Amino acid sequence: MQLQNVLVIGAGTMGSGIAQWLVQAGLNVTLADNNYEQTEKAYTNIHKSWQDLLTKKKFSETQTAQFKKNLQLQKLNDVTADFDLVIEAIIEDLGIKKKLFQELDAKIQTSSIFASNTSSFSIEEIAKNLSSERKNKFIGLHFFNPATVMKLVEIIQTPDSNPEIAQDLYQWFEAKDKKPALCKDSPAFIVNRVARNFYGEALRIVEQYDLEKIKEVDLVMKEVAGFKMGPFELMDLIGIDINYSVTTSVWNAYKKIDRFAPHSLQKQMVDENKLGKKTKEGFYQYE
Amino acid sequence: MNNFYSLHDNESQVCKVGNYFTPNELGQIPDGSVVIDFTGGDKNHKKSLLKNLSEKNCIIYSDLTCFNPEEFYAEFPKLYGVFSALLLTPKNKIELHWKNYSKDVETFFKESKLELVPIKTLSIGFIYPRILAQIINEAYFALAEKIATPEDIDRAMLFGVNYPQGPFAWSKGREAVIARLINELKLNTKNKRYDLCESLQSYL
Repeated sequence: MQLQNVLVIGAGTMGSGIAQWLVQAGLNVTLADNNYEQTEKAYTNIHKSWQDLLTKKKFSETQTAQFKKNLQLQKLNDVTADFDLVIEAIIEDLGIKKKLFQELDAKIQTSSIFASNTSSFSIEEIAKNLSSERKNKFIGLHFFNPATVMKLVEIIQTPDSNPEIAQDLYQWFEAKDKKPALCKDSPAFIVNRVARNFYGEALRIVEQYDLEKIKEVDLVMKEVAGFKMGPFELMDLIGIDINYSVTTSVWNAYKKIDRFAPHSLQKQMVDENKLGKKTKEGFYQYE
Repeated sequence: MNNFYSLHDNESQVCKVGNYFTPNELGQIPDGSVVIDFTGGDKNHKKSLLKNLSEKNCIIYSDLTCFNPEEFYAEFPKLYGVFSALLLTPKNKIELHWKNYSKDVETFFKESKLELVPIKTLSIGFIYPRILAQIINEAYFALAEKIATPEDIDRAMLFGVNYPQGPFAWSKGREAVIARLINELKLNTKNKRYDLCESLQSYL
């Protein structure tokens, strides 16, 4: 697969991380957002990150100079047609995503591959109103935060997408030292589905707020099982509200089957605004 | 620790030290001994084993990875501690709940190359096995729905959320333990949350 020019839409945490990693992987990347100030901010942060990586000798001066040349900014309305790959990493709003891709479908060359970094929505649904030619080149590319560090990319295929594109991208990502995983278009894909029980079952072991039990569960999962963080520590880090929202979204997507049901303690913590580290109180307290 | 004996079967993963037997060799264990039971097997098998040991007036410490420790404590007064070693990780650490602490038993575990993590929370399937079993069950559901290959599911969990192992690698050869544990959760709670994936049902 020959990839050269990539458009990344969305200059938030995920979009800028994806853009930075793609540049480091040797591509020309254009970063665009409907908020141009946000794009400039992301651009500054990426440059600062490259400077830090240069100081730490992760990259050479020649490399970082080339990276800087290979990252461009554009206003979303000004994007041109000639991209090999377009990756969307905007707000998780189905309507906004669908509208964006319809606009891009009319503007970008038909040979371009379209990809969404969504973690919540069906790829098939996002592509629903596009031309059949474009649906054939529409996949999910789900990166994990921070995209420059986390190796996994879930490559999501739909019944309409050309399997060769997914296979080619799989090989491309592998060659660039990512760890791709092919996945069918289904709610929460692989990770966000299989990982739900890490939290859900831990919550059912403690049943109600009990700090001693919470500490014990976290300790056992680290010391005995070998996880880097316990489920309660991780929920506090992610944000209990975010975790609850993802759980609820997966539960809804799977027609509210019991396996994915949120736990009452999650809701209670959210209602009490005990959201984790960001509010200085979650399952644990923080200074 | 001459009166210490351990029991092992083909599901046990712990290294054998001192006096060790299989459940078919109970006759060789003197009455009144301390028995560390590392065996697996189904609930009937486990209860029958503990009943026989109780009749020999043995003090028992038993692996109850797949069962409800409280149910066994209530039924077997000579059960002095319960632990979970059937899903041993390379860390060689196990959860153990003491009803009656014993320094000698602690030493025996150390000699068996096991590090104890004492717990107070009593839960069906303990903590780590219960959470892991549910992660693995969901991975099997995803596989049954042909969402991805086992290799891609393992890879996703390893590199997307830094799991120590992928669920299929983790469950390899231990499917029966996983199936028995989830089945016990279902029997105790009647909650459909613990529906067992069809491909794991064959291990019951």
